[in-house]
This record gives sequence, C-alpha cells and structure tokens, in this order.
Amino acid sequence: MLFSSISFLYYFLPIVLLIYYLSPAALKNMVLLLASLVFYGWGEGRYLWFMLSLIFVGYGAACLIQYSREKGRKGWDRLFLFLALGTNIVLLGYFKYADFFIGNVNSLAGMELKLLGIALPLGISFYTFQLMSYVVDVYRGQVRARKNPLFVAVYVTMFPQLVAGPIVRYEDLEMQLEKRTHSAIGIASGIRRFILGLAKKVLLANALGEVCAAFGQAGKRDMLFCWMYAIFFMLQIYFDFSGYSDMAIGLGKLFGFTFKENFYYPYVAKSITDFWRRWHISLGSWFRDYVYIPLGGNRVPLRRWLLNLFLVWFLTGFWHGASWNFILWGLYFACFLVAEKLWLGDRLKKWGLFSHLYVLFAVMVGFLLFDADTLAEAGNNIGGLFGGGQEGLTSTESLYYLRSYGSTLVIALLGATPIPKAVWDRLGEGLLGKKIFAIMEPPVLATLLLLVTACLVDGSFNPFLYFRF
Amino acid sequence: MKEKRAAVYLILMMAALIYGIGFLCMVKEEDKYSYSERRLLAQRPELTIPALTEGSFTERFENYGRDQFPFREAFRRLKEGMNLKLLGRLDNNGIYTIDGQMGKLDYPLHLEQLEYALGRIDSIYEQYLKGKEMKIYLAVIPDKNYYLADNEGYPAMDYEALFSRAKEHASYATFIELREELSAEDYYRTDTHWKQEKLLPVAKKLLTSMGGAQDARYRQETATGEFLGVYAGQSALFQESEEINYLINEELEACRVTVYGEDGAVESRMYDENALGGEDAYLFFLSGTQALITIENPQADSGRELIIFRDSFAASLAPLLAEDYQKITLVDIRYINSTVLGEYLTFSGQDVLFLYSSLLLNNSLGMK
Repeated sequence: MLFSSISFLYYFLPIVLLIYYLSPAALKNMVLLLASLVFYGWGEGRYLWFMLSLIFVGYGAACLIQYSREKGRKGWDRLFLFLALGTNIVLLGYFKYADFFIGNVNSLAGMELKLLGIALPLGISFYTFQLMSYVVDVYRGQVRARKNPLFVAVYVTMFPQLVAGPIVRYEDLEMQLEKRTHSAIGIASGIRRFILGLAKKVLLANALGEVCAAFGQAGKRDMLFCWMYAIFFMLQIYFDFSGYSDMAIGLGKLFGFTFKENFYYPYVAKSITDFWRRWHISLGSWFRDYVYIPLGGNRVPLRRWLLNLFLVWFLTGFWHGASWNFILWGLYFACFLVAEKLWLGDRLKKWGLFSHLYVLFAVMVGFLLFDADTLAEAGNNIGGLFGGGQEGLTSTESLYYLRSYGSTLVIALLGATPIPKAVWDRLGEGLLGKKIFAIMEPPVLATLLLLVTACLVDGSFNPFLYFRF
Repeated sequence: MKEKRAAVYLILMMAALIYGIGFLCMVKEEDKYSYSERRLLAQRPELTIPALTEGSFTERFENYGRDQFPFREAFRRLKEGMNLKLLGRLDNNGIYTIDGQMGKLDYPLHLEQLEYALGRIDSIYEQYLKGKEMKIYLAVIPDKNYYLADNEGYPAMDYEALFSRAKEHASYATFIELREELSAEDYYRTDTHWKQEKLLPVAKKLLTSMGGAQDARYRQETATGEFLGVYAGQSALFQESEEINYLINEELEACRVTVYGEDGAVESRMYDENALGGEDAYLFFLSGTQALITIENPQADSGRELIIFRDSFAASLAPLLAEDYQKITLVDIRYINSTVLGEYLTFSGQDVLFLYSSLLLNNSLGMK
C-alpha cells in the first residue's frame, strides 16, 4: 500500500488511528503490529510469512546471543550472530540478486542457466537491514535482547517505515516501544510533516516524473531534453524519497515515535562527502556503523582504507539494485570521496558557488547512471548532455515540456533548498506571526491534502521509486 | 498553552477532513458509469484469499477507491484547475486547448503501429483483392493535431513521415491526399471527429479521385440536443456544448441503411436521433461504431459499388459519397476479424477505399 493512495489515506489510516487511540496503552503495540501486518499483507500477502520468519530468526538469535553471554558460553554468541546475519544475507541475496548472478555467469561462461524470475518481497532491503542491525547491536552489547517478541516485531514491521525506510535502529526506538507519550503538539507536528511529505511526493515528484516519462517515450532526444531529463529526474528522486521519509517521520509522530531525519537538503551540499551526510542518512550511517568502521574505517593504512571505502560503496550501490549500473553508481561516488579526502577537500571550501555546481553536476550524472536500465542507456543519456548522438539543441517536445513544467521546476528548485523553510519560520516569528500561523496553517494543510487527493483521484501516474529496492 | 490550542485546532480540522471524506468513501453508493469519461467505473472488488495474496485485490481496490471517490468530478476539476490555471501547464492528462479548440497530445509516431496497420491493409489486399479488376484507393485523414499542435509549439507525431510511408507503401492503391481539404475549424471543438457540414471538399476530392463527381446539393440541418465531445469529458473543466449539424437531401432520405451485427441484418438510419441523448452524440452518424454497414442508394444509376475499410471518421463522410454509388459497404476491422470477411462480402468489381485517420494508424493494435 502506498502512503500516497486513496486506500491508505481514506480507508486504512483513519481506521488504524481510531483503533489505536481508543486502545489502552498496554494494547497499543499490538494494534500497531496488527495494522502493520495488514499494511504489508495488503500489498505483499504472499511474503508475509517470509517477513515473519525472518523476524523470528532475528528475535531468536538475539535472545540466544544474550543467553550465551550471560551463561559465559564463549563462541556461541558469535555463532548465533553469524547464523542470523547469514540467514538475512543469504535470503536477501537469493530474492534480490540470484538472477543477477545467474545472468552474469551465463554471460561470462557462455552458459544458458535459466533465470529464476523471483519476485522481490516488498521492503526486504529495509527490514533485513533493520534486523541485522538489531542482532549486531545485541552482540555488541549496545542494546539488550527483548524477551517479548512483540517489541521486535513492532520494531521491524512498523508500517510507517516498513517498506521504504528510513532504516531505524532498535536502540533509537527501544525506550519508545516500551513507553511513549502522545501529545497534541506531537500529533499536530506529525500531521504537518505527513502532509508536507505527501505534497512533495504527489504534487512535485509525480509531476517531475511526468517529464522524465515523456523523455523516455520521446521520438527525438535533443540536448535540451537530455539536460531537462537529468535535472527533472534528480529533483524527482529527491522529492519522491525525501517526501516518503517525511511521511514516515510524520506517521511515526502520529503513533508517538520519533524517527531520525533521513534527508537534510542534500542539494545545497558543498562536497560529495557533505552530500552523503545529507542524502539517505539512515542508509549511509548503517553502512558506516556496520561495515565501514568494523573494517577499520579510515584508521588504517591508505591502501586498506581505499579498499574499505570502495567495498562500502560497492555494497551501497549493490543494495540499491541487482544491476551493474547501481554498482558503478556506488563506485562512482567512492571515486569522488577518495578525491575529496586526498586532494579536493580543502580546495572545495574555498570554491564557493563552484563547489555547489560541482556537487550538483556530479550527483546529476550519478543519477543518470542510477536511473538507466542498461549501461548503454546511461552512456547515451550522459553523452546526450554534451550533444553526443543527439538530434539538435532543442525540439518542439523539449521546449513544450520546459514551458509546461517551468513553474513546477522553479518550485522544485526552490523547494530543494532551505529557503522556503527559512521564510516560513521567519514569517511565523513574533506574537502576531504566531497567531496568524496558528489560524492559517490548518486551512493551508487542508488545501494541500485536497490538491493531493485531486491528483490521486484523477491520475494513475504515481510511481514510487524506492519501492523497487 | 497557545501552542497546544493551535495543535488541537489543527488536529480537529484535519480529523474532520479525513474522517469526513473517509466516511463518505465508505457509505457512498457506487456509480456504474462515468458519462464524462465514457467508461465503466471500477466496482468494489470481491475479497478472496488468492486475490489478496496475488496482489490483484489491492490494485482493484485502489481503482475502486479512485473511481468511486465522493465528489470525483469536482476533484477532477480541481486538479485540472490547479494544473492549467495555477501552474500554467499547457495540457492536463494530454488534453490541451488552442483558441478554443481542444486537442489531445498523440506523439511520437509509433512506427511499429503504423507498420502493423499497413500490414492489415496488405493482408486484406492479399486475401480478397489481389488479381481482381478492382480499383483500390488509400486516404489518410489528418487528425486535429495536424493543424493545431505543430503550429503552436505543441508536440505532434511526424505527420510527414506517416503520410509518405502510407503513400509509398500501398503500391497497389492510389493514394488520395486530403490534407489540403481540411483545417482545424473543420473539427468539433471538443471532440476528435470532423464536422459533416465541412466535409464537402473532402467528399469532392475523394469522389473525383475515384472517377466520379460531387454534384449533389444538400441542405444543412441541426440535430436537437447538445454535444460534448470526448475531450470535454477527459478535460474535466466546464466546456460549452456544441451543435451537431448534418447534411441531407432527398436522395439521402431515400437511401437504405443496414447494420449487420450479432442479430443479423437490421435496418438502421443514416442519422440516428436516438444517439443524440446518449454518451456520444457523434454516434448520430450511421449509429457509430459497427462492424458492417451498408448504404444502398436506389436513386444512383452508376451501377458502381464501394467498399470502405474505415474508422469512426467515415461515419459522417460516407453519406456524402452515396450520390455516386448504388451501394456503399463500410467495414470496421476493429470489430470484425478481416480474415472472415469473405463470409459476409463478395469482393468483385467494387471500388475499395481504405480510409483511416492518422490517430488510428498511430494506435492501430485494435485492427484485426
């Protein structure tokens, strides 16, 4: 079920909220678990058992690790850790990467092994990572294993973040799972965040995606259209994913949870290093804490550090999809990070506007690689930015879409910066500003919700890019 | 305290909105049909375990939720208003308006579909016409975008490529060029189709090209009722209705129209007034989309017959060709498989006209 759907907004969410708030505190987690299972089963019923089995493995392994520690059985804790991690990695590998490996073996060895054609369980990349982080954290002694499986199940399945993140750590939710407060201010903040995220997704990302889709179907691809596609896609994926994260964070607040931020204006970054501190923060920090640092991080000789970095970014790319272009996408960023660490870091600080342009261009090219179905397509699209193999500078189509979506582009460009929020905050300062805001905010949010609803009722273009991961 | 009061105000307002609409979603009576969009609306799907596990229930329920949404038309208008008026979009769902004329973006040229359409024409030629003493003609009707879109900076299919491909392909047919005979004003403002009262130049070009002449005089009459074309419904914004005018004379009044359907041959009318109150008033012309229709003209003494392989555009044009032919047979191979035509028609000595709009040639997979 998509958050940006009629089923969710006007059927699922009102019913779940009603039941949740009518339930006594002791039953709230159970209500949340059942709601999350319905949410997941609604779209991916056949894999419900699979997710529950993995939760059972993670829960059991964590309990056994702790039990082994308490009983002083040395080595057993590590065995259970590896069993849990192995189960998650093997199953993730099977469902997500089996055909990729078979396809490559076929290509390299000239074989004709049959592809398995397995459907990817929804959200598997997210919930396996959450489970692994939970088991590792228990192994490291950062959190205690929960004896009550309900807590682990709620942590993993919680529908606001189940299928597309952010990747929440158990240690961040541990206290909230046990006891959390539900205040009017918190709920209002959740509503505000959810509706803004919904508007980002439906009013901006979907509209930007229409231009990208038009580019995909275009008869002629001139240089202007190639640039437009690159810029529109870069903005689409930002509003799509950050909008979803906003909705997840907002929904979390509605149920009394506080999730960490997942995006922080990535397109104002002054370096690629800075960009990755602002983009999909929960994934970056997961790889940092569970892969990069255990490998030694940067406190190792240069060669080893390079190996660590490239391995982490190989995995980051591969996590996004079973395809070479995702792997290259990850390694592409690794190259920039190395260059910045070794040579460019201090210079970028002095470059001012140029450092922003450098980041935007590098990220834009990266997303062309990311969005392509094949490496050849990526090459064509990147080459198209410089006139390679394209038909002229402009065409009727590209000029038409620029005219038609010009205002959306301007709104999106502004919306990707902290400017609107700064203006909003400034306007709300002072006694009068606060009063006006208190009166005006609900109708503004209601209008946004109605506009979103209108788009959902009269449109079927509503892809969600990160669902494929 | 003030912050809490503001938060409560926000919660109450949003709760009223979501629960209010949600309640209406659940209790609203289901509509069967959308007259503006001319389509059946999704109904509440049956909940079964297989449908749930396969995911088909989810998709059908979302379609149902969208189609049965309370005040759906108002929401559609809101979206179009936002897109066109607020954001300055040039189209909504592909529907655009230039100087009051509505069009629908249809591009690029789908070469594979054009080739498919030409392939269907080839197969009819091979199966029924090849080696026979029959004159064969091919004409392509430019759709409204040809006159509207390209001149105003709206993307359009490569019409030159389409027309030249059609012309060079059918070496067994004489190509009749119609583009010079039409302009944007010759089409209904809110619909795909052309106006019959504007078609005399087209009829003349066709008849003279096929060895006849266009001599008949017609009187123009206006059908009762209002006409809102397919684009008006798709656009959702309010549009003023149009008139349907038609051409008639004594010769046409004497013609006999027969529709061949599942119930066999049924006598019909050249202009079907029953269609005027329906969802698509353009069905007024020859009762619209039918697999096989014949027009017999007892006053024609030419002894000639014509078979038209056609789409819906021919419904309003065919009456204007009747003056030169004792019998016109209209065949729409979207509704009858062309391989079985031999069971219904004898191909011998007739003139044959393949008359298709560029819209159909670019979206031809329905041709059988």
